Formats: sequence, C-alpha cells, structure tokens
Amino acid sequence: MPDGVLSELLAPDLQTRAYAISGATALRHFLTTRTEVRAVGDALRSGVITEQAVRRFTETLIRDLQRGILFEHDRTLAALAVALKDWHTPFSAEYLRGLADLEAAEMPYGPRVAREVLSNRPTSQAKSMIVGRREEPGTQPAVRAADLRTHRERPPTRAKNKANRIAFNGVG
Amino acid sequence: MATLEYFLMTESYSVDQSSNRVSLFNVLEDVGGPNFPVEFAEIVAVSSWIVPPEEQALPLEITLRLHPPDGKEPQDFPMKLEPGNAARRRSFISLIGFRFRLVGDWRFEMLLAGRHQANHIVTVVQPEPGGPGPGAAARPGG
Repeated sequence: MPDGVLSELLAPDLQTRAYAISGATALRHFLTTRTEVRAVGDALRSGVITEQAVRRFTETLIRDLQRGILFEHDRTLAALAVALKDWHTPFSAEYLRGLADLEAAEMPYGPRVAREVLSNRPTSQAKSMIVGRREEPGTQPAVRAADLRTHRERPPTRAKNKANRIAFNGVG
Repeated sequence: MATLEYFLMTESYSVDQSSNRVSLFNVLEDVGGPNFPVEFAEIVAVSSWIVPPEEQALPLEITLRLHPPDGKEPQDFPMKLEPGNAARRRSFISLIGFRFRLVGDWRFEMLLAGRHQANHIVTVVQPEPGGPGPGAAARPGG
C-alpha cells in the first residue's frame, strides 16, 4: 500500500465512519467534508502526488475484488471519486465515468457516489486569462475634446443590426 | 464573400442603444430540468457577419436551420440582412416559446446563401428524478 495522502483514505477512522453511512448522496457529502479526501485533491493540484500514483493505488485496491463478496474498498473508491471532483483532466473523467458505469453487487457505493460526483460537476469547463496589467484607478488617460470630436465625425461604420421574432409556441 | 464572425444560441441578448454593443445572456449548452420537455420563453440565434467593402451594397441571405435529434426534416428560418455601409452586420433570430421536446443534441446551423457556415449544438438531457441535472438554470415551462 502506498504511503502519504492516498493511504490516509484507508485510515480506520475514515473507514469506520463511512461504513455507518447509507445512501450515496449522504456518503458523498460526508466524504466531501473529510480532510483525508480533500488532502488527495490538494496533493494532486500541488503536484505532491501524480495521477499515475492514484492509478496505481486504485489498481492495488481492485486486486482485492472478489466475485460474490462485498468489496472492502468500495467506499475508498468512492472517496477517491470525491477527491477528484474538482480535478478536471482526462484521467479524472476516465476514473469517474469508469466507476460510475460499473454495475456490481460487490460495490454498492463507489459507482453511485461517482455518478453523484459527475452529476454535480460543471458540464463545461471554462478558463479565462488576463493578459497585461490591470488598470489602476486614476491611471486611465482623460478623454480629450479632440477624441469626442473624432468620435462624432467618424463615418457611420456602426454594425447594422436586424432582429426577427418567430412565434414557435412549442412547435419545436 | 462575407464571413461569419460568431454564431451562438442564447436565451436573450441586448444591444446598447448608445454604444451599439451586444451583450449575450445564458449561452445554451446543456439544458434540462425536473420537468420535461424543456420550454424556453425565447431562444435567440445571434450571428455577426463581416462584409467586405465591395459587397456592402448587397444583401446577405442567411438561414438558421434547426436539426432536431431524431433526424427528422430540419426547419429553416431565413433572414435577409439589408445592404448598408457597415462592415459588420448582426442578426438576431428569436424563436418564441421554443420547446425542446426530445433528449439529445439539437443542432442549430447557420448558413449563408445556402452554404453551411457554423453549428451550435444544444444538448438536452433528462435528469434522473431528484437531481437538478445540467442546466438547472433553464426555465422549464417559462
């Protein structure tokens, strides 16, 4: 078993408390509040652990899966799903979708929590960037009278707008 | 040849009367809600076109083509943008009381003179009972 933040997901305190919870929604909420789970997400973001380490950890857990026997690491996989909720990479998508698609009687919680995580994730990622220095208040040059005159005298190049309204009324 | 600058499906828009600046609100991506089908009071196809000087005396014949996810016959909404001395022409085609009656990808296609220019896909999902689902901000029934 690995050391560090990932092994904390196997800590008896977390496991015992997680076992007392029934229902995927409640379990997801519980796991969201746990420092062990948040630590995994933080470690990924800060580069302390890699996705490869998470993959190896998961593979190690899966080795214990046996047909017909309740999977002892079911809730740990659920915890990993919660840890990955804000980690938007192909790896996390693969993990969450892979787990969510599982239908195994041996794993009553992991797939359901993964589905919960996916349904509560934003469906589109947005990234914004600001190039250049922000304007400090008072640093913008004052508008000069000449600028206004130029503005008034400029040729009529404003965009031409046209709007149509079509009554659809549910026909679609 | 005029070129398409942008094309988006939104819930609403505004044009500032003094600056002529456009603002778009709620670009439609994934929509869904507890009630199905999902109905919008209005959705708007917004497009902006750059017209070269030699073509500014000509109208632009554009068409919004709606492809429902079931592969049935698409619907066309043509519009003529009249000539003018502006390099940029914008169109706003509002579909009032629009109902997404099927789950899946609704493809909104923009054409110029019958030729494809761009697509905007709106994905309609039917969430599981009890969940808010994507696009919960959509206003089913309103």
